[in-house]
Amino acid sequence: MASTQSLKETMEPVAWMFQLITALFMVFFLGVHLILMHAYGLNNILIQAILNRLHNPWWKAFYIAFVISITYHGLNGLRGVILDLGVKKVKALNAAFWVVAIITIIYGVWLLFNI
Amino acid sequence: MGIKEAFKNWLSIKGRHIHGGIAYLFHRLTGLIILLYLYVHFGALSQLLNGGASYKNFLTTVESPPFVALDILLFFVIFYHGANGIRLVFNEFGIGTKKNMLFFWVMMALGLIGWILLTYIVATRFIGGG
Amino acid sequence: MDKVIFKIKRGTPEEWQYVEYEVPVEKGTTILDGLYYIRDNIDHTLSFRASCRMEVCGSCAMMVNNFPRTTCSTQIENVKPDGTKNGIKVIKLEPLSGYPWIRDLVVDFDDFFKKHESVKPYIIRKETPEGQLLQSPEQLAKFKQLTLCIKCGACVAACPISNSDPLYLGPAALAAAYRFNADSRDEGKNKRLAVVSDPEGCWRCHFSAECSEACPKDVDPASAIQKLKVQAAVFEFKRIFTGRKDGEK
Repeated sequence: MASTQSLKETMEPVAWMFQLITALFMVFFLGVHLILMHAYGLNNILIQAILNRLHNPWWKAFYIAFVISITYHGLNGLRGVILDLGVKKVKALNAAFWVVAIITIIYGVWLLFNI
Repeated sequence: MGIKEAFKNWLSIKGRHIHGGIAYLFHRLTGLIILLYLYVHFGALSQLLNGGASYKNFLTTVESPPFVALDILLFFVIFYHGANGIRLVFNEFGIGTKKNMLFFWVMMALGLIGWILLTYIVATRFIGGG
Repeated sequence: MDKVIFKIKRGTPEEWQYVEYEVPVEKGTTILDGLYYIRDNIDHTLSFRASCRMEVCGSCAMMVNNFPRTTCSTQIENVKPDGTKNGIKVIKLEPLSGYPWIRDLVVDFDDFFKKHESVKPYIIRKETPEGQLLQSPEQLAKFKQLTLCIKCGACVAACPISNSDPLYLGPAALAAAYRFNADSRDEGKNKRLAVVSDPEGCWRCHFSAECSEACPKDVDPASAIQKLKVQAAVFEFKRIFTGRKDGEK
């Protein structure tokens, strides 16, 4: 078990820490997102409103951070769910996690710059 | 234990406590729903590409009553996951672990209030705005 | 005299069924008393583990109406029935869940004790001390509750993760690791943290806290595991930043 572990294999506490930190970020991000999208009638979800927001660098930074946080939090959560089922191939699972997470983040950020 | 039995046990609520194993199971299920929704949401945002030609039709569809009802259900899922999640962040740092039942129900009450508020706002917009 | 029906899961993993037995109940009759009654008077082939009958040895834990309990300290009149049959209260008894089942109410504890052993549940000193190792009442108070663990295994049976992931170290072993880490006489904290910060160690705990609900001795493993996570995170961050495998200076 653990005695044969190398340093690289012990990133689990970093993953755990990030899970909790992104959780707290998300309370803020999702809170703002939900209020913005649903509490102002249709004004904020019309196409011009969305385009105006995305051309503001602060909003852009907000959405980039949001995409990274939610992707990490969601996929790391899924990784935990799979590990909890007694999966033995931890390395393969971690690799799959990174591949899917990076693709998702790249697509999300690409969307933000291309809309 | 095979993966099938593991999955069955994973979904089991037999003998579990609402503020314990059931809250835990719900947290995972709501988390998976939100993750799935994230990808659906990305798909929806793709409608905004190419100057948003298809976005107008899309907006009319999602503003219909069944979609708004689904939205409200999604808020419920998000508020549950958020309220329970805030408790878990504290718990995992060792805060409030001895009073986790009280903590759970307080967070549930706060989450419910948030959900009702948002539902009210959305429902009035929908009924009022036409 | 009152009666109660025990609905017991009997047999082996290959062939099993629920068998019902009528057991007389008086004020104070425990579930274990009922099991002894069945074995002495109705069916002497019934298998179950028990020894001290006073919540010390930790042998007699089993699923009582789907929740793990030490049967010696569970009085029948305090158990919410699983149902009734002809007006008689029914109590369902099954072997502990999350363990390999052997027969009737007996499960295999080998893996449980191997996991317990793997966290080095004993005081580790760099050198053999001369004379006694003194400890103040305050130092003792930090971990005293955790020393009450009787290794009955109820926490593991209640834990949703132990039930789906047989590799997970489980609440009992992790609580034992924290018990020795919190001991002022111990010098082996890092050795234990290297074991528990395995992906199948404390990181698999997501605080459903069922272990603490199940514990007959109020050891509260759930709280101990959260404290252990913080210790393990500090230890691993030190390892990453200093590049030292053992986390020692």
